[in-house]
Amino acid sequence: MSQPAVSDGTNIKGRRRRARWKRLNFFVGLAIVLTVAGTAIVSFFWTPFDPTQIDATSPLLGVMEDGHILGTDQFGRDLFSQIMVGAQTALFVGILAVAIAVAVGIPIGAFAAAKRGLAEDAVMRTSDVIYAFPPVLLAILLVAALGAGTGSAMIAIGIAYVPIIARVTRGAALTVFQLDFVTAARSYGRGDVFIAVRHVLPNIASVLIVQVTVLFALAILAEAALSFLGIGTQPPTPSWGRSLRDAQTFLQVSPRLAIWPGLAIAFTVLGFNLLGDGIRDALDPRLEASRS
Amino acid sequence: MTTPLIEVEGLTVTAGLNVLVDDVAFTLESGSRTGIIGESGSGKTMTALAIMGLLPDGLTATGSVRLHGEELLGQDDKELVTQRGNSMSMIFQEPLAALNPVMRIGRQIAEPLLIHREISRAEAFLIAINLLESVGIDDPERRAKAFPHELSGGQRQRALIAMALANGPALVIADEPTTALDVTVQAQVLGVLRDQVVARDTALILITHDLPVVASVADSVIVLRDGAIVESGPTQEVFQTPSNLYTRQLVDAVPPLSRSVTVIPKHVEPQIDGEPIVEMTDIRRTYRLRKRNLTDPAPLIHALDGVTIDVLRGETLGIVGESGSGKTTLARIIMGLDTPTSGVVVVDGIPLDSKQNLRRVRDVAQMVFQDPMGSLDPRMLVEDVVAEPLRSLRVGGDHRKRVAELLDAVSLPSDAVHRYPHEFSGGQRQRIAIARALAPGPRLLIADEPVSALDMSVQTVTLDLLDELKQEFSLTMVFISHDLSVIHEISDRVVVLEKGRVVESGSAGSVFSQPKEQYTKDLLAAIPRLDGSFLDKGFVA
Repeated sequence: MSQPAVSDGTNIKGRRRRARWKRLNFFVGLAIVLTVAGTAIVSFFWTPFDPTQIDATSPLLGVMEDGHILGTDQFGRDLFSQIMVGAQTALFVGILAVAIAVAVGIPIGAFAAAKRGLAEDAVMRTSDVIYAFPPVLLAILLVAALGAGTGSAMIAIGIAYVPIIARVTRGAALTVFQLDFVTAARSYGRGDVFIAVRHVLPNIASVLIVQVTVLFALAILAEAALSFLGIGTQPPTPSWGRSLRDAQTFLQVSPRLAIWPGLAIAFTVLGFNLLGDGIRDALDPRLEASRS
Repeated sequence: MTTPLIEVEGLTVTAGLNVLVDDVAFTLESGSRTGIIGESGSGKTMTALAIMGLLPDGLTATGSVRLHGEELLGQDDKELVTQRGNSMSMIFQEPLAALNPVMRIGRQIAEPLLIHREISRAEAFLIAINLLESVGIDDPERRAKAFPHELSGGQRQRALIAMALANGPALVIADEPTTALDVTVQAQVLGVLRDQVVARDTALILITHDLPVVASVADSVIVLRDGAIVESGPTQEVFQTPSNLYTRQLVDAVPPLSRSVTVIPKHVEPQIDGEPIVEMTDIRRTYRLRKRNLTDPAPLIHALDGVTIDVLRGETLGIVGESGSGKTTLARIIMGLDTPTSGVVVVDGIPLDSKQNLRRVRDVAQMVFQDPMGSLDPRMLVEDVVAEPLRSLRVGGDHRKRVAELLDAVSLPSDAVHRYPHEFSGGQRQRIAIARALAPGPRLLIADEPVSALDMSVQTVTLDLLDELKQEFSLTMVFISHDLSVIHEISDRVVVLEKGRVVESGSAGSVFSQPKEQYTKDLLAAIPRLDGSFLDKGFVA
């Protein structure tokens, strides 16, 4: 039977406009993310000034003074160069934290969905316990064990996100495991691992990709927060969160020290969120149906 | 001359450049019962939705639809809502999806009353109870306070009928109202639907792909193909002497058992005296439900309750039963996908009592599933889908060549290998699934409702194909279905299951022509027939 799609009560024109708007989401998001990534790559080879070079003769310069595009901080370090290199830290933390979350979370979620019963309960309740810990507390514990640094922050963020990925994976995989093609695969002798990797994962990939982009944005925020608290990236490595912390003291004198790194964080997080939204819409089965 | 109830002229529904309904015109008098038949994609649902003004976004209707002489097309939603649920209403296919799961039945039936009439809630609720009673629901006061999930499928569909009739509409449109129901329940619901529209002098449009269903309810019929009317006229005239070739094909595709009550079709008795390939002895499968509270023991469900069945080499064994009869559990147990709580299963000499042996069964038995949408991995190319069992079971030889042979055997074009399952029609997808099941060279094919999701003409072709393949690959087949006509067409022997027990078994000819048990007789009596005889026999429970 040809069942019609559920009507959401809007006319075609409105829907087309919305579809175009959503495509815009994707491209703006992509542009922002590429800009940030490009900046990070360029900063490996070139920055206007050495971002860690202290220059006591020119502290707290304003925008465009002495060739400093965004001015300098209290130690005379070039702010623009710091923000450029800060993009490295942000992306590095984002990529590795999400990689940890994905590498641990997806197998856990898939295992829970495949096994059901007691094994599922054990795994998912354990992940709930981890989920209940505030990431900051987790980070403090890790810092106590491993010492402060970008690495500890990254691992802490990654661990904190494992339950999120595990839950999303399990939820999506549960539906797929119920489908007949999985039963068919069992009937010709495929085991759980093969089914999970070859049949289930490709079918839940779209859900996971969206989740990953959103977590990426959250990870960048979390790193900034941890660095702001002083338990993330340590000086002299530039980090947007630490730049904010350093700017705190001079907030009255020179608020732009806080504004620029703050904008960098906001801009990047916005970019990843838009990209995630855009990917979600691109993979929306309803839109897919109208395209084909 | 009085104005007819509904006049449809030049109705055309388009989605962009696609024409879904093409210049459809018909007139309905009040109190008439009309069937609109056609296969999937013929535009029958779209025609109904266009009349109701419920077309989904992106579809445009042009032409004219007049109710009591008043033009409906072009009216905006605000004007149409005064008609919908009042002078016309609709009954949908899937009763569980059409009812709000968190609203009590009585309240839902009362809703159209409250919208269109100035009455109090209490009054509306009383009317709802009366309506429930009139559609044959026992203890309507208690049922009115129940939630949809607390009712059976048949009761839910009756409740939907009650809801559609609530405001005494001039027209009710029922879209495949009984497709999701068991055959005995279908008979009852069709009876209620017919009696109620007759009693209220309400016009009915019944949309279905099932010709015998139309024959038992409607007095005239419209045949749609690719959005256009190919034939229309009084039901029996159209079905007995179809003037259009397509209509004739549809009529010819109706299985013999669904044609008439009086003429019992002959069944060729095959000579099967092979050894059993499957021996099942006293199989029980019990599921434990969740505990309701701490002290009571958890309730048990007996999916299979002492089933003993042998499947003989070379035969097609039909297993027929309604939902909850345990037929799918049986299939899963033979395949080693489920293990019985007690009892012995031996498949091709392999006792299914260890993990190792369960694995060995895969070389012997393969399975075809009901839903060809769900049984093929949407992210895999057809080539990989069919080759999967070859790889998994480590079958030697040139896989690519084998896949090509298999696709040829199920009459699919050779370029199918590089396409994805969604690019094929339902019937073609089921062929892909059959090719996959045949890939590792099984001796036993288990087909669980393999044609239930297909259009009737595609059903016939698929059944013929299965029969041919059975000879070609010298298979034994276990064919499971709720549809007696289909079982009758393909089986050599039949087992009738009810609530996990074998009610009756024997050769297909004897079970269908001389059923011994009352349950089998009831099932047979409930089949809608092409000559419309079943409801005239007064089969309304």
